[in-house]
Formats: sequence, C-alpha cells, structure tokens
Amino acid sequence: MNECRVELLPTAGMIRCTLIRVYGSRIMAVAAAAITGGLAFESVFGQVPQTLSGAPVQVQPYVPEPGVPLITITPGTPDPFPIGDATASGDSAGTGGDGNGGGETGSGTAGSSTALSTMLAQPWGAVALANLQVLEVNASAIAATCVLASGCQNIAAPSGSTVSGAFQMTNATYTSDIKAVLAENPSLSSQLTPGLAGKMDPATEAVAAAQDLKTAATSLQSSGISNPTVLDTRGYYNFGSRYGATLAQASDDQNMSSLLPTYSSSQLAANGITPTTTVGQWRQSIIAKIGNAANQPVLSG
Amino acid sequence: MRRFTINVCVAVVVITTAQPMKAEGLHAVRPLPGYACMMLNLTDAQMRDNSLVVPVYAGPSTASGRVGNASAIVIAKSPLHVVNGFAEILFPNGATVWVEAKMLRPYHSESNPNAHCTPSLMSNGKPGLG
Repeated sequence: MNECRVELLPTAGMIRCTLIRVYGSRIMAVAAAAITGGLAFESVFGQVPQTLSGAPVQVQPYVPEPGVPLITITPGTPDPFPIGDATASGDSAGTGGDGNGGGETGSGTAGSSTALSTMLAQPWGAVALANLQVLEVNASAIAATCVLASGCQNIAAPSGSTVSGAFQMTNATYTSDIKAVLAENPSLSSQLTPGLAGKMDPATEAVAAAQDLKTAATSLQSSGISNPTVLDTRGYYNFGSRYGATLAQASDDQNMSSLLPTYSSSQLAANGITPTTTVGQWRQSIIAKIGNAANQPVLSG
Repeated sequence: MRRFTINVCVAVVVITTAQPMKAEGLHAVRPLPGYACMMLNLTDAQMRDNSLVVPVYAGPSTASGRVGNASAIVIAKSPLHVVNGFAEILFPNGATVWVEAKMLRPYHSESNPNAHCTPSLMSNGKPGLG
C-alpha cells in the first residue's frame, strides 16, 4: 500500500488566520482586497492564475508496461485518435479495440496501437495522420503497413526497381492510388507533394497507401467479409483477393496448403509457407511484426 | 498560517501478468451439416488475378441482383443445389447466395493430397473453413 499526503489550504481559513497578523490601516486594505473576489484572493496570497501554453505536462514513462502502446504527444499535433479510441475517450461502448483476437473479425472503428506509435514517432507521422483524416481508414492500419514495409523508414528505390518510400509502393500503384484519392477528395491536393516526388514524402505516400488499403478492404467486403481487419488485408496482398477472403474465414488450425489449393509447393515455399504451416502460425507471424494493429478494422467510416 | 492537513490513503492495486494477454483466435465450433467445400473453376493465374471476379447473386438468376463476389473456396449446399444453372452457396457473412454452377469444381489441393476442408460454424458466429 502506498500513502499519499495531500495538504489542503482552505481559502476562508487561510484568510482569517492571515488577517490577525496585520495591523492598523493595513487590515482594511487586505480586507478590501479579500472581498473583491477570487482573483484578488489569488493576488494577495500569491496564487496567480496561469494561461496554459501548449500541451499539459505529459507523464514520461521510463519503464514500458507490457501491452500498453507507447504514445508520444507533441504539442500542436492533431488528435492522434480522431476516429474514436475507447481508451482515450473513455467510451466503453465498443469502439476501438486493440485487437488481440487472433483472427477474429475486428469491431469498432479505430484504436491506438504500437504500430501507430511507431509511425507517430517519425518526423512526418503527425502530418501523415492529419492527411489521413478524411479517408475513413483506420490510422493504425496505415501505420501497420509502413511498419511491415519499411519499419516506417523512407527508403529509396533500389536499382532496377520503383518500389520506394516508407510504404514501399511502385510508381504505378502510387500514381493510380493518388489519382483515386484526389478524385474523391480534391481538397487534399493542397496538402500533398505533387507528382512522383510525393512517393518520397511519407506523409503523401501514406495517403496513397491508405487508398490501397481501402481498395483491399472493400474487395474483401464484397466477398462477404463484413469488417476486414489489417490481418485480413495481408491475406489479400500476399495471396490475392479471392484467397484473402478465404483466409479471413479460416480456422487457426487449418493448414495453409489446404486453403491455397491452386498453389504449388514451390509457390507456397516462395511465400514462406511450409507444408505444415497453419493459418494460426501465419497470422502470428504478422502479429509478431505489427502487434495489436493486426486485428483492428481497416475501415473507420 | 494554519494549514489543514488531510491524510489520504490510497490503495494501489497493481495487476501484473506474467505475459501479455493473448485472446483465442478464430476456430471452428462445429461442422455445418449439409454443406461441402468447393472451389472456383479457375486456373491458378486466374485465381490470383484481382481484376477477374466471379459474381454471386441474391437468387438463382442474374436478375435477382448481384450481392458480391465469390472467394476461392466456397461453402456449397451438399448435395449441390442447382436452380436455373445457379448453385446455392453460403456466403462468409452467413447469407445464402447463388453462383453460376459452372464456376464451381470439387475441392482439391495441388500441393497437399491430404488437404481437408470442413464447412464450420466459427467462433465468431459466422460460417467458415475448419
């Protein structure tokens, strides 16, 4: 048990005690100040109201707590959880969800995650988050994408390839996705780096990556997967849309080779799937990389 | 100056866990009788081509309205229930939908002759593959 000592200075009692120590005309001066109201009280007794400048002092944990994501709040950045966070808002009605369900379909809209903390720790993270707010895609899902692709590092394309940026997109995919985004959200154009240069601006590439995720999630929905999770979209990206939907409804103990029936043994091996790899093992391999973002829903709208 | 002092005892409850909590993953609860796994009658390349879709409908006709696209493995009524060239299947969201019967073939894995697929009620309350 810890003991905490709290000292209260009740205003009325303090005034009474203080007045008996002043003399003559000073009594009236102090009394006059006392009856002019709270602000005068504060001036007389040294308690001066302050205007808060910037964010309140934040607790800086020096020992990470298992299961609790690291959140860095930088003064002036937008709300990191603009689309609902059960923890941050105190809402216990089912929004959020940090996704430890291991293949269960996610629920709610969005939530914090270690992946999001990783993205927000980047110099461009807060700007990317601001850009994403109109796209109805869970910020944790985008963050998980950059964690998986590059560890959220802005990587240049290797020789002979166009795959680059924090989200490791090809020129063709990036161009197509940005075009789709701007068609639906023309107002975003003023916030994005134009042309292919935007691919090396992570805050801009994040928007294209969000559009890509949205396409994947929408495709899975059309295949009957009601609320696609980040994990579900990994199946879509790794094995195609049809197999993405198949994997999303499979039991953890199912064998991957049973669920990818047209894949040959060599094709499976090229994807890191052995003859004995189960769906649960494949899911865990992704969860190990992106943590509690894995089971969060992709769409927040 | 007189100060009033209140001692407040705060009981601090520390909940510790030996390791991070891990929820149970998606799993089959029980088989779904009267259904069997079938797969789309597509080549491997077609199966992985996202631009190629196999539509499913609300009823056994295109006029009934398209409700989505079939995934690689479908849960079909067994024995196959075909009406007007459309086979009845169970969508992952639990709805009964219809797909052109010619787009289906028996379930078989190229890489795993011992592969099995059992239509099941899953732990999330929806139909799935166990």
